[in-house]
Amino acid sequence: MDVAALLKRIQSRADYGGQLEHVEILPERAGRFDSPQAPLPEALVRLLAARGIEQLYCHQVAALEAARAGRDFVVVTGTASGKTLCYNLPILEAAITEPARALYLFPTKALAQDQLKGLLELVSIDPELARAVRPGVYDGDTPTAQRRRIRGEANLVLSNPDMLHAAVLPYHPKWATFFSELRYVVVDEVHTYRGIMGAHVSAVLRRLMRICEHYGSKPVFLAASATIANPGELTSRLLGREVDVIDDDGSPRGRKYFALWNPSPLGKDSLARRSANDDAVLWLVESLKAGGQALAFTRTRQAAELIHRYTRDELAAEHSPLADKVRAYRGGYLPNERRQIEQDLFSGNLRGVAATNALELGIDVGSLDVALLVNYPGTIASSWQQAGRSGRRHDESLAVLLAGNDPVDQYLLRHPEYFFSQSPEHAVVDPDNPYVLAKHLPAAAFELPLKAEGDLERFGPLAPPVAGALNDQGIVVEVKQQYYFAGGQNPAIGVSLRHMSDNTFSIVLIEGGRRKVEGGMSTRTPDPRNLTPPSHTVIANVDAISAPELVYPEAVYLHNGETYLVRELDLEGKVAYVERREIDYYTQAVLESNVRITGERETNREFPGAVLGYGDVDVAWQTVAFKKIKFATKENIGLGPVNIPAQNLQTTAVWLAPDDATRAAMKASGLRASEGVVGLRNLAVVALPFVAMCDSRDLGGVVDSKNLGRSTMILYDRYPGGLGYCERGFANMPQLLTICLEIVRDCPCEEGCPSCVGLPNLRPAIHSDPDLSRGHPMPDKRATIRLLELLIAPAEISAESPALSVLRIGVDDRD
Amino acid sequence: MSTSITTVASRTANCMDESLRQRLESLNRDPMPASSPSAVLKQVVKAAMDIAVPRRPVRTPVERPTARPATSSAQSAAGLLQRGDVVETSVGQHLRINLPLDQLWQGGTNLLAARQQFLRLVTSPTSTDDKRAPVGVHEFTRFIAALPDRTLALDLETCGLAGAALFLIGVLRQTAGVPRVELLLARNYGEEAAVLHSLWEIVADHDVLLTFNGKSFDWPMVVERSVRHRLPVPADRLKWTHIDVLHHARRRWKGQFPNCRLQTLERHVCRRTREGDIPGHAIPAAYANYVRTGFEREMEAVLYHNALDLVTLFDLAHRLAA
Repeated sequence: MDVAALLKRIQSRADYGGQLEHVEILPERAGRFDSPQAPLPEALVRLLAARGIEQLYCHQVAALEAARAGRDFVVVTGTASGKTLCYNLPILEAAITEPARALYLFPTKALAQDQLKGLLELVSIDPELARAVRPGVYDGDTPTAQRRRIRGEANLVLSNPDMLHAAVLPYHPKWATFFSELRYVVVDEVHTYRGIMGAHVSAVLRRLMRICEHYGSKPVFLAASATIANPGELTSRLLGREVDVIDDDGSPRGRKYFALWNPSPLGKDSLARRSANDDAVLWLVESLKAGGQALAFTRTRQAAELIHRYTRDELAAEHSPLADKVRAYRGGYLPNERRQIEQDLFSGNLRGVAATNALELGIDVGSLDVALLVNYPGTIASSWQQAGRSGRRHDESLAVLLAGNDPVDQYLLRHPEYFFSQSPEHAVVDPDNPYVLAKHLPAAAFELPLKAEGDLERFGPLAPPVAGALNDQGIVVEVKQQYYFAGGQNPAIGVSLRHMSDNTFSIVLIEGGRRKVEGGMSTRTPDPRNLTPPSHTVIANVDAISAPELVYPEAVYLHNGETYLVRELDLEGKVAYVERREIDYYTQAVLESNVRITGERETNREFPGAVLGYGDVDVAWQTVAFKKIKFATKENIGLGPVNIPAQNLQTTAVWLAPDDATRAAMKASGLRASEGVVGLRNLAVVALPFVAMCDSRDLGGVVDSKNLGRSTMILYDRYPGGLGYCERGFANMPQLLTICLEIVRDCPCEEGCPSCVGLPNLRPAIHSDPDLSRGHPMPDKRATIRLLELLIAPAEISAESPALSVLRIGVDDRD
Repeated sequence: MSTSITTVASRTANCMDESLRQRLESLNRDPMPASSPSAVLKQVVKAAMDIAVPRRPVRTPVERPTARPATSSAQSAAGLLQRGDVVETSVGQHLRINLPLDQLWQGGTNLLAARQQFLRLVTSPTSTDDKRAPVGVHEFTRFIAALPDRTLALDLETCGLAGAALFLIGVLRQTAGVPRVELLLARNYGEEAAVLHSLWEIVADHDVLLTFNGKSFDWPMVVERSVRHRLPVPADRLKWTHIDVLHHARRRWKGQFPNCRLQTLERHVCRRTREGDIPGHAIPAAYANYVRTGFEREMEAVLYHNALDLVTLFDLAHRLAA
């Protein structure tokens, strides 16, 4: 596609007013190739040739040789650089020549299905290979009747860490042959295993290694990661051993344009701008008309639906045949529907898709011409991953960041050099979290007795004391220096590897409306596991956490751009009943959330300048009402109450409230303490991971004055019962504050920017229209600095704390 | 406000015992222990002495009958553990308790001998070729052929369902025509492998296996636990004749009794009753308690329970075969 022509066309539109603020051109690069030291088996060479692969890229050969030599690796190369082949080559080579098996772990079930399809296609052309390579998906959706066959016959098993944790490792004797022949373990999308999920996965992988050892195998781990700052460090911490980092990308790349687009100001008030959603429609329409294939990434599911609907309507108004070639793609769509969209995108039948980050992970949809980032995705790493969805090997491609009204977005537009030079984020994982160990050691003991010598150590230095504590609680029992699990129930059940459980609600269409759902859905048979009468069809699902935000009674549920009215939400049965209605408005949930301190576990009375506490909190969120919004005009045409109970997260938190003296000192400098607390909260959410070894997404943070009667920063762990992150913040508050001060002081910005006071992890509600939520103002940088100075004793500011050197190491790595 | 949406994970997490939480808190804040964790370990062990609280209230008392007849389980079971002898195997020790059948079922030995004689008489060679014979008749033909010494009845007691450990394998077999029950007991979680090892030695001398629901539970469990301990599982033993008496009982007595549980059949078919038996659901806790505290009374009730189950299983097999 001729990108320059598209840019020109956009700029020659009547409504163009200089929105294109910056265009960065990333030059093309030629491919670099290599050959394996020992030739690949004949059958494999034939297979590659049939796919048009005559030569391997240098990173693929490096991966092959590392695997052959038994060295674990992590491959970190760009999107569409042939990463999958990096782990599939050694696995296929081994599967052809000997009875070697492989386990693939993907963070989502969708990715496993995608890979299964890929593997089956790959080997289908050659009967010899098809006999030797027998892949099978083993996850929560695998029918019981097929499980035994997959365990026995599949030599490539595709699964996920949750399944391995709860349903494979605890029953390992059923897998005895599989484990004894296990040669390779693939850990794909390894960058997603950080923070809470990472701490859990590192324990699960250690449990896996124990079981393999028990059956006499020692598999090699083949990891793949999206671009992050420290893929090697992350992978080696997850595995507990050193890994090779393969990051010399040998794939060719066509020229790529990266444009920054600032929607035009609305009227005279230059602070409010046109919606990025509306401009995404403009870009989609223009890209499609220029013959390109385009993908628009939105931050919320609602936005994906709206952009799809508006784009389709606009094309239809012009009688363009392209109107039927636009879709929405997001979490909640049923697997079959998602597969269909992915396939149509890959084949080129679909020309434009509005998607959430559900499409960000490595599902293979081929490479497209245009990627639109509608609002800043929140991290540099995500930005590049989404932008990487466009990029042809030889042709030109384009990525556009459409800025939203948020100060963060506006900052990036004012400082493109910041955006293009900023390195991606660090992924932090802590395999030594005692809370996580306390959940996994019983599971390990259930699988095989944990030997105090030569076995327990693999779970790290805290494992012996944690095992001792579990023994004293009667959860495990020590017999002759081995710990046995004392109960009869698999203890892994009930331990979630993620923030929240993956309970889902079904969205059920009540027939009797004018027509059935479009888009290949009507021919689908209903899922037999859902005991719905024949006139009811499951059309989608939604996780339990956000069901009350999406399918409350009288809500308009948007699916594939169509409107459905929610008749009933059955909280017990986990079903929402909807009916098809042509409605000219959509609805927006009005959410209320609050954090209540329910029990104080400890208070630090000596802390200077503030009240500092640690304890139990109850985080509740609830849909209290909804607004009706007219399509296109976004007029608010009504409000209705919603009466459904709140959802709760009981967890642990740290809180800090400046005391009267501090507040008075702030006031004396003409600054507001509450502004400083907001800035501090935003900084602390970013800085606490350095102290507590977690990820920002694992933390929640609010500023509230209801609990203590004054402006208070409350940080909490986003995991039921807490995982000790905020507790570490409480124990190391001076260090945490010092890091915060360091970040905000060293930031060269004038008035605050996303790198310092301005980047809270305020996720937008995923079912909301970002156009309807107010942007968050940038907190006052001076007030934040002053507050920090007041809270930190002068001596400590200059002192070189160990945490600071950690931070510096982190920053140095970013190159 | 709402509990209905609270997740399973959160319930589990929030159930975390307060003292465990305190221990984890101190571990979470301590600087990471250096290369030798032993100092911390000692500290923890010492702290443990002060707050050793069992997590589960496992001390479920044995159900006792109000009037205690002479043959009460509790009385008959008393001292069973003391009567055991320690068996040494290549994978460790375990306890074995031998019980002559007559101690469990008075006159049982003679009754069985008479029945077996009868079974051999009625089994003519022609009947084995009868194509119209109901399903399972061939199995019983083999059962009769393997009588007396090559038939083995088996019943497990375990810590739980799938994936959990087993701690007791009870077998009933005849040696030179004399029936006896042998209870192979793991006195702690570490002796399971030895128990399985002894079972495989016994199994080698038999051609027919009798169980009650063993096709779906007991036998897969034996095989799986053996694989777990990496004990050699002889392939031919997986193909021997396995008669699951439950399946035959369901066919024979369908609809005649409230259910087809072993003790129901014991009462209605064998016309024997038990007094003071430990209920099945209390067994895992009784064992956990025995391992932790050495408390014998409940454990002996479990042993006696298992032995009686074997007797009824053996009895039912003879009745069904006839």
